[in-house]
Amino acid sequence: MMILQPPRFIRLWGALIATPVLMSLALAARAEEPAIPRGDLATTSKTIVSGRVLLPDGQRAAAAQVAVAGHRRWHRRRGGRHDSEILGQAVADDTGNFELTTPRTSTAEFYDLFALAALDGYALGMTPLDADSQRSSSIVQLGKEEVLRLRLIDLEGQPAAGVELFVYQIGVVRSDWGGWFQNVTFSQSPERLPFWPRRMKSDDEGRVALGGFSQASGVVVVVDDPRFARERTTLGGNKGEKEQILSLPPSQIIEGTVSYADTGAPAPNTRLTMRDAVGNSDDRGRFRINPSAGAKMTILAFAAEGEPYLTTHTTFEWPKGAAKHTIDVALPRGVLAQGHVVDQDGESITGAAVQYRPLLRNPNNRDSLQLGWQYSAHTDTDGNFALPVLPGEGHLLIQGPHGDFIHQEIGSRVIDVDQPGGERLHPDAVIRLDVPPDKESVRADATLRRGVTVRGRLVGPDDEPVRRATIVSRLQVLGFRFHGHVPTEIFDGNFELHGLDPEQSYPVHFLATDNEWGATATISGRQAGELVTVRLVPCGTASARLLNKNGTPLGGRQQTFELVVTPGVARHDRKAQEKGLLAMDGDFVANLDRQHNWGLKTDDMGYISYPALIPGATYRLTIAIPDVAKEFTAESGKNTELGELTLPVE
Amino acid sequence: MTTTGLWREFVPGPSDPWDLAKVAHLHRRAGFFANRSELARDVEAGPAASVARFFEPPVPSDDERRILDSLRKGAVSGSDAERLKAWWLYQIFFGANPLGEKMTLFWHGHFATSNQKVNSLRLMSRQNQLLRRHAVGNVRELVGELVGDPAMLIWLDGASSKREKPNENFARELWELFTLGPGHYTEDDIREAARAFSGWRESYDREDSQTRAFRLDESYVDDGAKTILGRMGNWRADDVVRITFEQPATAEFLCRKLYRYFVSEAAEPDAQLIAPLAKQLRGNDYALRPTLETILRSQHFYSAAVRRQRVSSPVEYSVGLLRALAAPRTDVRLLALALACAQQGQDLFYPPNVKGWDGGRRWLNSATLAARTNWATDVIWGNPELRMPPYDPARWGNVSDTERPIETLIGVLLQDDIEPRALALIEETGAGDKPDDLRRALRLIVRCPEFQLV
Repeated sequence: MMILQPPRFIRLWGALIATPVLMSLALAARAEEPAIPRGDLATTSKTIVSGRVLLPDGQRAAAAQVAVAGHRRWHRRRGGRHDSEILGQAVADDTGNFELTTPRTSTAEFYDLFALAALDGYALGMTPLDADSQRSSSIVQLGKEEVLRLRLIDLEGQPAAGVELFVYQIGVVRSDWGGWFQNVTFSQSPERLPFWPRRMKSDDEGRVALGGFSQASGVVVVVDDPRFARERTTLGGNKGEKEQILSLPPSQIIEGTVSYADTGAPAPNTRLTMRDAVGNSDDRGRFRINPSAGAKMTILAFAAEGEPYLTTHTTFEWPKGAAKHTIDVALPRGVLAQGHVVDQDGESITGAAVQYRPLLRNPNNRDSLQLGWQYSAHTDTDGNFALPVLPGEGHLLIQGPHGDFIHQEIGSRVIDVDQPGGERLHPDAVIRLDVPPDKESVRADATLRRGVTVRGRLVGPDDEPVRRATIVSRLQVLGFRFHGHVPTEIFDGNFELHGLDPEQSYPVHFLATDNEWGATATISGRQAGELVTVRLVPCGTASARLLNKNGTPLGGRQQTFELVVTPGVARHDRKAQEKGLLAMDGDFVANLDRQHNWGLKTDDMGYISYPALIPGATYRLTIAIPDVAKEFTAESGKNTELGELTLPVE
Repeated sequence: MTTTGLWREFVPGPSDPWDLAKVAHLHRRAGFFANRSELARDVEAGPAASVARFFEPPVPSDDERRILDSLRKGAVSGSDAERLKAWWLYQIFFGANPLGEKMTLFWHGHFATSNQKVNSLRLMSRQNQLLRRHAVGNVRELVGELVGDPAMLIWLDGASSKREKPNENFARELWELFTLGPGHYTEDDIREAARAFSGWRESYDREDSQTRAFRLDESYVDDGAKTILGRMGNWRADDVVRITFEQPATAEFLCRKLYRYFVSEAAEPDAQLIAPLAKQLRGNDYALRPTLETILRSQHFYSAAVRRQRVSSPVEYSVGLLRALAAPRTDVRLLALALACAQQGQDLFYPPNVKGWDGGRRWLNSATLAARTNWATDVIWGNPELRMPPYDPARWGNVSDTERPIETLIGVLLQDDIEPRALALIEETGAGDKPDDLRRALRLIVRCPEFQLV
């Protein structure tokens, strides 16, 4: 049972150092849900999503169909797609109200979550939800339906009639993200979602009309027809097209057989992926794939999970003009690493991702093997996994199924060359392997530590809850690396941070792009159980003038500009990393705040101004790759003048 | 228009009528062959209307433009050079402006730029559109725009030309290959012109940040005094172009090349033949149309002496065969066509070097002849690997109700330009008038030496 405690002081940099803010508990708690503690995966199991569906004119939409769907964070399965997950469905009542229950959600598990609503004759409505809220309330507004039209032609300009296609992705335009960004994705039409468009066929003129959307929707359709190569396009997206014309190249069919290299026996149920297409070998190892068109092809072959065979990739040039090509694949045998993943209490963990990386000096490694992020296994419901590895030295890197586990920090050079330094990797556990060549299998068990959750309130300079903002911290890890471009979103001033080590503190950056407010706070795992409050202040700015080595202004120039989340040497500075130093964690500011920074360039006189900088955050403007940069800390309401910077370019 | 002297206008008469052979010759040179109904139409229309049709093509509909744009975007976004070739061949094959495409192909060989070095289908397609825009327009303006064309800047290193160290490649090729020809400038001229062409700097492409773009930076331009082709001044790039086109040699050089392209490559043309054309080109400030009209309307152009005096290029041969046979649109495979052209030695967007394709007899060697035969075989008998259906005389519309099909085929493809013995063999082979008889006869026709010539 969570007990709310009075908030502590939050340490803020910049203008707030001298004016720490103590918020009252009354202000910090949400008025509409005072009794329900926010997300705690360990103690609650359900989320209630309620709300109302409205017609475009604001009237209530009776009998609208509603669903909640989102993308899970973390690793996708081998050769699999990163589809959304449908978490719950309902039908709105006569007053347009709905309520549905989903499994407990959290930003530790989902990087986006939506309430979708549909009603015949209207455009689909989509509203983002706070994944951390145990009781979400939202209004989903349907749009005015505008039929999206597509005309398919072949390369001779002839109508492509009877072509099959399906809707792969439906997105919402986010003006603050420089175009449409957030979406719901299904690599096959989900049977469970009745309003998701079914597979379609073009008519005799090659035309397809898609109702239920508006021009503001971003609908990705995929051509999936044996006569043509796989092709995808986005309809809508405010492009203002009455009818989009899509030209379809002919199919480039790849056929072949997968076998086990050591025995020559056929390899059934091997998953094969290439250029946007996925296929499986049959019980005789045969496969047939129709990928997107191209001149250079790479086919990945993933042995069935649990089999002791490694994943390979085969690259080949497509024979010009050919309609079909045969490629046979042989899967090399590995050594099966088998393990059990548990938490600190010995509880088995389901869905943990396990990745294998051999040391570069491992003589058994070869170019044709596909290792790294595409090569992983997942623990089953008993916490067990099996992943083929190479004889010799290497590592298993393990990540929990969601962000409630404490990340470790390890240099990439430790993993690659057994030396200190390199990029910062943040797995939840690492297992060092040295596999004897004659082994059939090796044991590799791991324990992950569950972290704690810190909840908080985010208020503006006026002490009112901030409606929308984002959080950036080193807790955001994807594929073992910090990834700033999938920040956690904050709704109505509530936030949660997951997976904190109770003994550690974390710098956390908050940014409300619409208001140009921000703050940097140090939040400790010890604050779990408290309701911390962070107060945003006006952002800072920075300006500079870029000159070439001759002193001439560099106009129209985009320069690498990053937010430093964890200090370190430049990410490009391989020499420093080879000396044992760790690279910074950070991301391009344009990825973190597209609204202000996407496509930002110097003017004709070489001047550039960076707006909406988070007070207290460290920024890095690269002058010369790899290691010359200007670093500074942004200050609230102030412009940091970086002066004239001479770049080593002409 | 020059209507007297060597380039006097062709006037049909009883002894020299406007006939099928002349119409077919016009279409082979000004376009990419014609089918039976087009030939019949122009025999009926007479020379003036037939030539005028080439200069006043219908404006493409909005729908046609959108289709083309979709084909181009698909090729560019898919980084698929074969699809970009298909996009161009679509315009050559299905487009309503054969002379425009013929001249676009001419300029592609003249200002030969290869994607091998440019490495950007977006930039190659833009250059192609630039060539098309000025194809039958004004060559001086075309060259003026090519100075800043990103593909050309990459191809001839203009993008890396600095005021302190000007790169001479563009200046050298501008005169040696594009305008004056050798012997009309000095090495000093090249050095000075290279200074005027400096000043380009990397920029950002408006459509795609991955595409290289360039802008002229005034602070990088060398606007100091230069002496170019005997003229002194603070010349800049457009001045160099202007001075270049003020040289009589430029018009002569271009007309000599146009002569070889449209009239005859059998022998070097006399200066007497070129001088009137060059005078006309200069007199029209390098607008091409009057000069091209003079050529295509002339007695000289229709004389038997210049007929079949050029080796057909792979594009002419491959497209021409399908067009002459009136291949239905649904049976055409543009990717296969692009491949055939490449295998015969003309890989669109990939000319072999800055001089372009040598052309002429160089089009024919054992490998390219085999490739021509293979293409013809694929057209006639079909090729499932390339998704090509076989030639179907009944469906392809090049048979006649009033004459025997074999006679129609010979009329469309060879007219009377064939030796009697070969003609007899072809007629005998196709005498049965059954589809396979006609296919066998057709195979003989396309293997004739005469059919390799246009």
